[in-house]
Amino acid sequence: MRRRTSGAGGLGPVDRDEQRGDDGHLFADLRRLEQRLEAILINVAEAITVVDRSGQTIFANQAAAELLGAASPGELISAEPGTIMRRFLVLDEQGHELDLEDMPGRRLFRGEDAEPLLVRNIVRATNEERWIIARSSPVADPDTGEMLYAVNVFENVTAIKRAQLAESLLAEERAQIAHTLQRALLPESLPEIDGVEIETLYAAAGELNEVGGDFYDVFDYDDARTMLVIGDVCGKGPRAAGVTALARHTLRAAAIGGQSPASMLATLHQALLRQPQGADMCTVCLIMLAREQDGARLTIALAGHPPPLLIRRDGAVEQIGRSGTVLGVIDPVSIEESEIALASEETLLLYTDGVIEAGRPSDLLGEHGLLELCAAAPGLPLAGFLEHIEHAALARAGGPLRDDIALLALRIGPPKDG
Amino acid sequence: MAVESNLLIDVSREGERAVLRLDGELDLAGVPLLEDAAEQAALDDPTTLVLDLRGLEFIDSTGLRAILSLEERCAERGQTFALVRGSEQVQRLMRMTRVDEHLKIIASPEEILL
Repeated sequence: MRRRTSGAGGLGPVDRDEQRGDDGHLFADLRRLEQRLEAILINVAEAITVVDRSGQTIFANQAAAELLGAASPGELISAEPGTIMRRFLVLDEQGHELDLEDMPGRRLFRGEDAEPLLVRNIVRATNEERWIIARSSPVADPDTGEMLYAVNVFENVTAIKRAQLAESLLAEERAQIAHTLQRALLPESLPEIDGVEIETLYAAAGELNEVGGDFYDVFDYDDARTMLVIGDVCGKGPRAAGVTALARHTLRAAAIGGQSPASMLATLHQALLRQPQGADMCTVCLIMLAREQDGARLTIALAGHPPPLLIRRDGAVEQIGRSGTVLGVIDPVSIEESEIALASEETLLLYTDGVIEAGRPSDLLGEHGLLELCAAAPGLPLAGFLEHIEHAALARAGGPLRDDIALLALRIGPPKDG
Repeated sequence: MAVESNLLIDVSREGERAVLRLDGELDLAGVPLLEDAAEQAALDDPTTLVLDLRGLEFIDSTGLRAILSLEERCAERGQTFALVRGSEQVQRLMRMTRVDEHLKIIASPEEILL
């Protein structure tokens, strides 16, 4: 009686003991086994080849013939080693040409590791490009352990790879557009004011391909006065970007008309209400700065925006301004101006809510956290002070920011002698 | 890109009053959930819609705008809209934007509205 070692498909190796038995039967057995194996492999959708140490293909299925541009599996088997592959340029993912000896099957024969390899395969005759994952496993002689064959499985992943490439190109393009748009929404340069230092900082939230609604602006109101603006348009993306542009330009136009800060905000509110799609909500902090001897007088108007902070020379921090109605949704709005003096070497900070909303809801940086950070302002250069706040917000967030952060700080230099 | 929402909404009906209880965070990711729940509650044709914010830990400006839109839609349908006040963070944003002056704010979902 003959025995087979494994049952189910009848494909298990023939018991070694039998080789010493009836050779005629054994040969017939092996032949049948081979035929069944071939019948299965020949129709597998993935390209399969079996190659010996010399590089000679001893088996190939129909898919392999198609992938390698052969008329039939027989053409691959009768070809001289290497001749078929000369029809192709084989590159790695980075585009460097690969030697045939780098393919997993050849590496196995050298006793090396053979991780699946993604290759870009270009048909020299037609320039057709395919992406292929090559996987190989060894078949060893059961007696000697010597590797006899490499079984190569080639998976054509061209469609998947193309989709991935298209996706990443699209994402790159979107990020580029968002970046360009974002830059266009912020002033290219800030006006120079004698004896006044101004610094700004903008940190975008996690998703790079979305334009945020935070904006800031600094512009001359007249010869003696400067406007400081920071605001936040609700929402993200192209629509928010459009509203952001509207907000900036409406405020600049209102300033040309000589309106007071509260009246400028009321004008922006009307402009938002007249937007065809309606319900564009926007918060703004507006400060008119008038230079005075050794300092400045600030006129503050707030519309739904967090109050700016005034940091004294000893590090004491005050919220300034009176809360006013958010713009664009509730009509009429109620906005009141307030005035305060800013002395030399004191620091003024305007910010958007992304700063105080950094962190988990149970552990937000919050207004208190920001006030504490501000105590460090007098000892820091202005740009360093803004970075100090940004770092604290990022640390609190512990990952991507929930919302964009915009910061605008101003400091009047020490009084000039004489 | 879709961001996971940390908002839970419980819709209940108490007489003529539909109550939406919000728990968690109302931000960009949560807004569509609120809009869906409010639409669903409106189908029953209640006379009053109450948003119970007592369990709301966090709200941002997108969430605030969604609440204002909801109030506007209720007004168009002739329904009364009221809020049960939320956490300090929620109330701070309401005060800062002066939305608290515009909306009807009550102490509990059962409070009688005039």
